[in-house]
This record gives sequence, structure tokens and C-alpha cells, in this order.
Amino acid sequence: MSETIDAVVKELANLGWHGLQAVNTRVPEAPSPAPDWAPGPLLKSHERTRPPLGWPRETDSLCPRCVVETRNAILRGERDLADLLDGRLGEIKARIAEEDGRILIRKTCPEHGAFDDLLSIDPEFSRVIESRYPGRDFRTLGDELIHRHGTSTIKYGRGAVLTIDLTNRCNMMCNPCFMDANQVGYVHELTLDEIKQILDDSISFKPRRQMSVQFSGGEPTMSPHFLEACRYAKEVGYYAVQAATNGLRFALEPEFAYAAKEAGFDLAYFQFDGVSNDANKHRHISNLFDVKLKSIDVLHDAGIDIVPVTTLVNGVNETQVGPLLDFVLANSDKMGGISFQPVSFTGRDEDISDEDRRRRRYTISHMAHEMQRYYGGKIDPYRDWYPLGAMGGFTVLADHLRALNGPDQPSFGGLCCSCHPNCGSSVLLVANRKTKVWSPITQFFDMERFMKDIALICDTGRGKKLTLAQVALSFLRNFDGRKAPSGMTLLEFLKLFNGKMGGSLMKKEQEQDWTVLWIGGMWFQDLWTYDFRRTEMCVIPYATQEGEISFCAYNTGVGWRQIVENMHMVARTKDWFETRGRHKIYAGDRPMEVPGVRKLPVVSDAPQPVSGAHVTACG
Amino acid sequence: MTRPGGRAGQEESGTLASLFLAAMRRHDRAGVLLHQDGTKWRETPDWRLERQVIRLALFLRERASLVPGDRVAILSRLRPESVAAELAAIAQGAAAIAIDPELPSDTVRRAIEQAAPAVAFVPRGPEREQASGARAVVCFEGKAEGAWAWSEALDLGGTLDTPERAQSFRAQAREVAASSRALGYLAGLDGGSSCQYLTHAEAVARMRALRTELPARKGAVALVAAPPTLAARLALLSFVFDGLTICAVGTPGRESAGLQPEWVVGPAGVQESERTAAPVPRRAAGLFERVLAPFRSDPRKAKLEM
Repeated sequence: MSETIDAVVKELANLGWHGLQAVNTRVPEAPSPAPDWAPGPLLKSHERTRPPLGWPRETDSLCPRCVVETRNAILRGERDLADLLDGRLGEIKARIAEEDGRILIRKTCPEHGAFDDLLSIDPEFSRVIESRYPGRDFRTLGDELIHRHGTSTIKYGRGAVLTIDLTNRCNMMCNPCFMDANQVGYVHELTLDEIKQILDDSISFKPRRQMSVQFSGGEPTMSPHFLEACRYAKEVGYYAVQAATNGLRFALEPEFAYAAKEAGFDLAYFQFDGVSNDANKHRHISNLFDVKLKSIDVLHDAGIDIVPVTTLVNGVNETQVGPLLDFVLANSDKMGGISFQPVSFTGRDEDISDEDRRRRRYTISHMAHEMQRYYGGKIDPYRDWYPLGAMGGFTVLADHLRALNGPDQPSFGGLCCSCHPNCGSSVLLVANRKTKVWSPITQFFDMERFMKDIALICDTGRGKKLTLAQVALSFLRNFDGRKAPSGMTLLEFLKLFNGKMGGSLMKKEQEQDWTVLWIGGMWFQDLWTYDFRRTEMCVIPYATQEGEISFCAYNTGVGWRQIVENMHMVARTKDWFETRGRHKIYAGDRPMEVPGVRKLPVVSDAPQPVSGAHVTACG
Repeated sequence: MTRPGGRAGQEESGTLASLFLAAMRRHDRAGVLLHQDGTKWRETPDWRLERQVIRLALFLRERASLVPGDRVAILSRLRPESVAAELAAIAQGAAAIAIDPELPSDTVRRAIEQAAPAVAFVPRGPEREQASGARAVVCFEGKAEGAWAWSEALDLGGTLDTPERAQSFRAQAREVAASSRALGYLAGLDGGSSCQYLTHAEAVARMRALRTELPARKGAVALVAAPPTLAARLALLSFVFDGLTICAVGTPGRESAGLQPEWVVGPAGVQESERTAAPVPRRAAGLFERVLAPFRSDPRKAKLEM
């Protein structure tokens, strides 16, 4: 009966939408609001610029050998940093093209020869992802002191997550690790004054953004300023504080989790490579999975959200994709999703051989097909995956609605992910915490049409009531209750949507049975896949003593990390240990002794064949 | 919200150290301490106080080789730093001896000689000389040759503050014996002053007596604007340990601008000025009197009577 009602509502809403748009699209577009935090009026969809997409195309890249030589010369003092800022050291053209059913990047250095790498095993998947990209955010304004890194300079966007490395010290010895922690021979650790200055600088230009701050490292909880940094970030107006953490501190000292929560810590971006100790053995702690379970319990108890983060390496843990998602679904009361990060060969892995690199390469397209295979087609690569930058479409609506609040406008723009479509993709699932029923949202909600409707609504720029009316009609016409999982009614979905919009539409409910899980694939670049068109619109920059630098330009590329850390190192590691004492490092494939660590029955980490599924070879 | 380790407020804690640990499991107040910064009151949240205590304790253990049974002299007016220093000492089984720097210099010198502290906290560099026999001297403000600055001690303690060491701090705090010395004070302020001690058990008993008739209330503010006498310290610690009261640490003679304290601990003059601003419950008068009665021979402490 409710399905019938939903179907009637859908059709009526569709009629209402078309009727309204018959008038709306004939009235000239109203000017966009111009909130104080923005460098100008909010962008209409046709005003958004786009990087070159599709293939074949040419782009600017780097020679993997020239870059390392140049960087080392700068670190040795043989070349000046100004050469990096003013020159185009190591830069070469690259061509992205489809070959034999794959997308490859090829480039040639006059000195070091030809390089190539795999970008996608499914060109159609990549085409669909790129087609769903809504366009860039604002160009930055007044940021000359913050964004000043030559051809690596960020030019677009207000960013989504600001990463600050609090320290390069770590209590693990992982491989892969692009931090090269414990190996570089020096300690780079920010003082509290430096952290505060970085946070102050980050809100000094336009677009003034509503970002998350992510404290990282090394292991950020090893910084003596972690708690104060969380507190200060909240004081200056950041709405969420995250940390990219291995979680060991919380397992070893549960009290710290509660202190962190009080100080302002909201979300653990939680390193998590597999659902067994064996699947985590490359991290060199023999009972690491058991310790991670303890951490999850402690974090959840303290009220801290958790998003597991998994580095995927072909031949190491690529079979963990399905079991990890199963784990998140089974623990959806504790977790908001999972972030898969196909490996990028940086840090210690810059010396990787071509053979090993090709063997271990893993892309988002691999991941999309693995999920399709594991779940028997329930997650569809072409229907369900959207570029991370598509989230910016929702921010457009949120910005628009908040700007219509008149004098009560916020002083920050909404969180806006507007990164290049090749940077990452994601699937949104709905899951019932009690019944464990789940499905992709796009199974029952026409996301593509909804985003086009949102663009039209914001472009025409009507008043608040009419805007909300159009949003409601679009919502209703794109929801198909007949395809929704059991228990997911229109009202339940509306509540979820309202929650994700920060309560913009109605009073937000605190406790809901249904939750949205974000399943993300974020593929950071390395010297073989590097594309400057991506770095100049990075939305997850590193904030450093030398300004804000694109994530990939910092961790790979010309190697801004090594340059900044060398410029600002605090001490040689040996001297640090002598004057300040050693910290314990968990490695050597030994177990950790943690009170309360216990084995829990968890989902099997062995891939479960689904009857009737067509198995697709990947890569 | 209650942190792991037990249900706060319901365990029979026999030492000041265990009361501190229990208090840090409760999080029902915006801040545990307030202090004046210019014209504004600044808060110290529970998590910050706890971390400062842990870090200071680790610093004292690693750099000053502080062991249970040692004595720590705190030559200072009451201030958030002196609270942290006192807690760091007693949580590690050392005795914290508070000495009012406003006392005559000869009195101060004799008191420190008697105490023979392993570690001394002083207000500023020049006072360092008065504690020259200590293994380590820490200046709350500024720095001096041969002494640690407060910020240096916390900075080093911050690096020492690993989960393993933090847990060893808690384990050591739980092992402190109720019969061991906790709070040292000067008895008699004339030429015959001597250093006396309360054990943990005695201090806890006095604090419980103090608070039995004044149960803690979430969000209540207490003002302690007194010299660092034993009575004032007991009152202050009781507010810290109840997990609910916000304790403002003021300077005797300065008004509590902007506060509306429910309790005031201070000399008569301070209490009178506070009473006109915010009446103090009359029941508190008799209660403080009973607690302070054993110290009536001390003319300075007599000023605390209402």
C-alpha cells in the first residue's frame, strides 16, 4: 500500500515539477546571492569551469627521475628553492589515452626515457565518472601568501579537508607509508604556536570555507599538542576535527579518547587494512586487527565517529574490499563508511621497480568491479559511482539556502568537495542499523537527475520558499519507493537527506535507524600518474609552515614534504631521543600487549563467491 | 559522560591520588578551574588539567628523579599552575608543601630548609635562590639560570606523555598508600614555624567532612581567593575532585568580577566584598569554621573564619 502511495506521490511530484519549471525556466534567472565569505556571487552551473576531460588528452606531468634528482639537489643545497618556484623542473607533457580497453598515461623524458602507467581498466566507467562532474568551485582570492608554490599552486576551490601534519614521529613502521616516518633521520614537529598560526592563516582568504581539519603525521596523537590543536581548531570556527590515526593510542589509553572528544575531536580517519591479523601483517604488528577492534570500541564509547581507511595494494590486500565493506555494514552503528585508497608509490616506494609497480598497481576501476563481483551486481559500477566532486552539487544547494537566510547568513561557505573527477569516486549506501538491510542510494533514487534539478534550482535563484518547494518536488519525483530496500520509506529517506544537509529542511532528528554510509575511493597520485590539472584544484591541501600545498604535491610530485620538513626540522632523530626520550615503536611482527584486547567473531576475510554472479577479471 | 575505569563518585577513594583519577573520569562541567587573565576569567577544562598533571608528573619523575616519599615545595600563591604542581606531586606519592611567598623571607627560608624538598616550584627566577638545595627548580613565570621554565617542563612532559607512560602514571597513582604524606603545611607563623603533614587518609577525611553538608552541584562556581593555607588547599581540591564544581582561583583582595560564586573561601575582607555581590549560604560559614577550628592558633588562618 505504501509503495502505491509513494508511486502516486512520485508521479504527482513529477507533474508538479514540470508544471513549475514551465514557468520558472521562462522567467529570467535571478542574480546569485553574494555571501560575505565568497569572493563573488555564488556560481551558476554554466559559470563553473572544468579541467580538460575525456581522452585522448594531453596534460602536464613530471618525470619520475628528474624530480627526485632535483629534489635531492635542493635538499643538498646544490640548487635553490627559487628554481622550484619559478621554473618547471622535471615537468614533461603526458598523454592520457585509451588502449586495448584500458586508459593509460604515457610520457617521455628527453633524458630518462619513456614512462607509462595504468589509470583505469574500464574506460566506460571512467567516462561515466567524468560526465558526472559538476565543475570547479571558485577561484581563490587574496591567497598569495598561502598558495605560492609555482606550478604546484592551488588555484581553485575552497577545499574540503585541511590536513596538518602535527609530527612526523610515529609508533609504527608500516610499508606502505608515504610519510617515511622513522626513516628520514630527523624530527619535524609543529609547536602549538605554529599550529595556531596555520589555522589562523587558513581562514584568512576567500572563499572562506567550512572545512574539516585533519590532523595527521606520522601519528598525530603522538604530538603533545594534539588536544590543544583540536580545541583551537574549534575555537577559530572549523566545524569538524578529524585525525588520520592508527588508533593505537586509544587502545592503549582509553582515557585519551574521552579527553580528545572533549577537546573537540570528532572523527577518527582510522587506518584499517583488513579484517584479520593476517590481512594486516604488512603493518608488522602480529595482533594488529585485535588491537584495532579495541580502538574501535573505545572510540565509539567516547562518541567519536570512525571512518576506516584502507590502502589497497594489488597482490597484498585487494581481496579485502568486500570483507571490509561487510565489516562496515555489520558495524554501521559505529562507522560512517570507509575510505579505500588505492596505493600510490611515494615515500619509501619511490624506488619501486617498474615490474613491481605494474604488478601492485590498483585503481578505482579495479575496486568498482571488485565490489560488483563480490556483491553479485548489487553495487553497479555505472549506476552507483559518482566522482567525489559531485558532492559539491549538494554544497551549492546548501550555500544557496543559507545565503537566503538574510542577516543570519553563516560566515563560512559549506564544505565543498570540487576535486578533479580522476581524484576519486564514491558510492553512497543506506543501511539500517537494526535490520542490517542496505542498498546503494542510487538503486532507488535518481541521483543524476536530482543533481541536474539542483543545478536548475540554484541557477534560476528564486526565493527561499520557492526554492524549497522545488527541492521538495525534485526529491519526491526522483525517489522510487518500489526499488527501495525494505523499511526505507519516503519519510525515512527525507530524514536522512535532511540530516546530511545539516537540518536545512526541517528539524534534525538525533536518533535514526537508517544511516548513510559513504564508500569512497581516493586515489592519490604518484610520480607515474601525476597530473597538474589535479593538483591545482586540490581540496585536501596540507597546511604547512610554507603555506597550503596540494596533497599530491606535498606527498609526491616535486616533494614539497621533504623540502618543508628539512627547512623546519626540529632535531636529528638521534638528538631528539637523547634529549627528549624515546617513544615506543610497535613493529618487528610482534604482538602488542593491550589490556582488554580480545578476539571477536567477525565476518570471514575469505572472499565469498556469490551464486550466479558473473566473475569479471580485474586488471 | 563517564570515562572508563569505574563509576565515578561511587568508589570509596582512600587517597587524594585516587580522587583525582576518579574526578578525571567525570565530565559534567565546562571547566574545572578559572583564573583571571587581565579582566577576563579563563577556564581550564578537565582534560587540560589532567594532561598538565600527567606531563608534569612524568617530567618530575624523568628529569628530577622524583620518587614516592619525596617532598615538593610550592612557593606560590594559589594559581592553576600550583594546583597542577600539587596534584602532580601527590599523585606520584610525594608530599606537596605549599609556602606563601608573602610571608617574611626568613620564615620562607626556614620553611624550605625544613622541608628539604627534592623539587621546588617558585613564582619567578629570583626566588630560585631560596630553593637552591632542590634537585630541580621550576619557575611558574619566566625562566632563570639553573631552573626550568614552566613551559619547558610541560613541553618536555608533553613528549614524555606517551600512552604507556600515561598509564604507568595512573598505575602509580593507584598504588599511593593512604598512610603516606600528602599535604605539607606550615604550623605556626612566628619564629617557631614547623612543617606538618596530613596523610592522604587524613586529607580525604577532612575534605569529606567539608563537603558532606555542601553537596556538589553541576555548574556551581566556587571562588578560592586565599593564601595557600591548608584550609584553602583542602577546599580547592575538594571542588576539583567533586567533578561538578567550577573553581575560580583568585587573588586575595581582588574582586570576582563577572562571577557569581556559590562558595567563597578567603579572608574576611574578601568574603565581605563577595557577600555584597553574591550572598554566601550561611550554612557554609559554620561548616568552614568547623573544618578550620583545629588551625585556630594560626593568626593568619583565623582570618579565614567567617
